[in-house]
Amino acid sequence: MNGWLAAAAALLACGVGPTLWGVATGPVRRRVVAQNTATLLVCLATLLLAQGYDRSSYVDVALVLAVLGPAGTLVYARLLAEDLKAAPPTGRAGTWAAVALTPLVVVPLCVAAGPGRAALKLLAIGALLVAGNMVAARALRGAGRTDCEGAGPAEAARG
Amino acid sequence: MRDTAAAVVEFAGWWLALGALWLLLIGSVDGLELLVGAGVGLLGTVAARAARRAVDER
Repeated sequence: MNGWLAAAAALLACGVGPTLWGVATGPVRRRVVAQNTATLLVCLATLLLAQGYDRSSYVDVALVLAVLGPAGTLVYARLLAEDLKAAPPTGRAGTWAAVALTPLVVVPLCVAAGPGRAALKLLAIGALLVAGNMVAARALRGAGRTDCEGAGPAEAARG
Repeated sequence: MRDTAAAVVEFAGWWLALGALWLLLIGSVDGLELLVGAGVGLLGTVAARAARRAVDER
């Protein structure tokens, strides 16, 4: 048991556990935001586990999750557009928490990986995580709108 | 003529960007990886250009 594994365990217990509960209970607007946050937390936990177990292939799992997680949130935004239109998610605490937590995890991992392609790959995954989380959160807030506001990701979510 | 030059520049740009992404994300770099990356990058470039043109001309 080293520090990386302990950090991953803490992230899973204190982060993914509550967000999974948030996905399973409550109104739709909380559940989709919790789904968005859960994919980000699981990706960060996978990165920590990759370093803790010293298996670089787990980083590829995190990379795939960083791409597919926000895509899944966009799919939910599209499918639940009517419910979200009636009650859109408000507040950006989830997004800001994600934006703050990702560097806290990615930067120590880059330092541990040392200068090189591995660190660049971790930075790319971190950037994907933050960008994907923000795009998906914006799409969720604008999912049900039928006017021209909320363009961009909301347009894509409406198809 | 200018359209052709612009198309060539865009094609090369996409190919280089996708190839760089390939080199960034693979585990070890050797000759075979470069070949595979170039080939896959070519496919990706064709798809990316088609997608960009579809979006721009919508």
